[in-house]
Amino acid sequence: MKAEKVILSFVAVFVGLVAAGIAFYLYQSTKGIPFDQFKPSATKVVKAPTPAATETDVFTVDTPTDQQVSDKKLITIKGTAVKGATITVSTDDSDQVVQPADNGDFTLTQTIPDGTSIVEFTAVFPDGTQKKIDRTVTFSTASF
Amino acid sequence: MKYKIIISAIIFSLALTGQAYAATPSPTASNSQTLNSQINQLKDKIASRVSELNLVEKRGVIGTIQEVKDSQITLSTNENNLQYIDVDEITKFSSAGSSASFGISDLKKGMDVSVLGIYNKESQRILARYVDTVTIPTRFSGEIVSIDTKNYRFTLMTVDNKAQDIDIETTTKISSYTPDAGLTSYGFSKLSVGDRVQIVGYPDKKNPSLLITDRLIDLLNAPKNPNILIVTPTSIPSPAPTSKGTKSISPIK
Repeated sequence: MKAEKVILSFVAVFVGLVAAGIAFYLYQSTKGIPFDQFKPSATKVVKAPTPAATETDVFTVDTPTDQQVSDKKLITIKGTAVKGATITVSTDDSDQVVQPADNGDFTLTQTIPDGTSIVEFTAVFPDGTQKKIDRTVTFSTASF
Repeated sequence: MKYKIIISAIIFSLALTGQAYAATPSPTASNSQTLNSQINQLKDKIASRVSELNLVEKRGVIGTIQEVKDSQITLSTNENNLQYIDVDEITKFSSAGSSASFGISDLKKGMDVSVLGIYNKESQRILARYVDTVTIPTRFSGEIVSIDTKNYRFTLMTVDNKAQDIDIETTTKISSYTPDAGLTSYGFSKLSVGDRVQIVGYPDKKNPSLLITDRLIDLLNAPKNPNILIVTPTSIPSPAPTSKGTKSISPIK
């Protein structure tokens, strides 16, 4: 009688484990994402709208950023301005003048002075108005 | 028979249990040391990388000193923002033409300085590593309203509608710009009233209202700035002199 109880206990535990395992499997299978939802066609790629260059005073300088520290003397300048603008880049010891491409982008390289200095960007727009952006840039190879 | 059933049931239940491994093998003394050193290296790398990427970064700033207090400098940047600078025992100070013992006590309100250091994004303060006094060039842009060819000077009307006296030196680099020709060398004699120019220079030490030009660009094809109001002086008609009421002058003999 005692042995039967023990056996029944083991059998009951076993049946319980099997039932729990089945239940867990079913639960996990419900958390999965159906295959058809993985189709790439279901993913909508939303492109950022291209800013219309119709405004008359569009002028941004993307690089260099303000207070940027560079370990190279030659830095790349990138930005956007309205078509037909004239952009002057002025450091402590040299100047450059560029005009943006048809899409408004402009890119150039500029040698910066040693240490920290201010690079001034001035855009003269086709309507005669102008806008000024300053960037403090530092050339330094010091490690700290 | 009963025992056989019990034993087989136990074996069966044991067979259901999976194998479990320790998360890490039991370390020996040498393995433990290697592991600890690797963990420490990894921690250092992660900490360094996190600090590099997120919390701090190198920054350089230029501004005018508003206040110097203990180990803190308050700067007003060219964008008119306040930037707090912390200095410590390894901050290096320098000033052009000054002695090697230049330090924080030599910094005064109104001085222009450049600061290179570690910017903390959370506190938004810079821990200075280098503090140097600087001379910031003055920049103007506007239109020429009058030219004094005799003294190599002209008056510029800035975009703020302020008249600024400009002095041209023999060392001044004058350029002109057109989209076709680009930047080309130019001369003072070619400057005309109404030209749109951009100027970099430094105030005259004797007369701070006069700008000594270092570089000048004449934007030849640039349109007029509608915000610059140039008032052309009109001549006021003076009354024709009459002899009425005047005294006759006789020559001295």
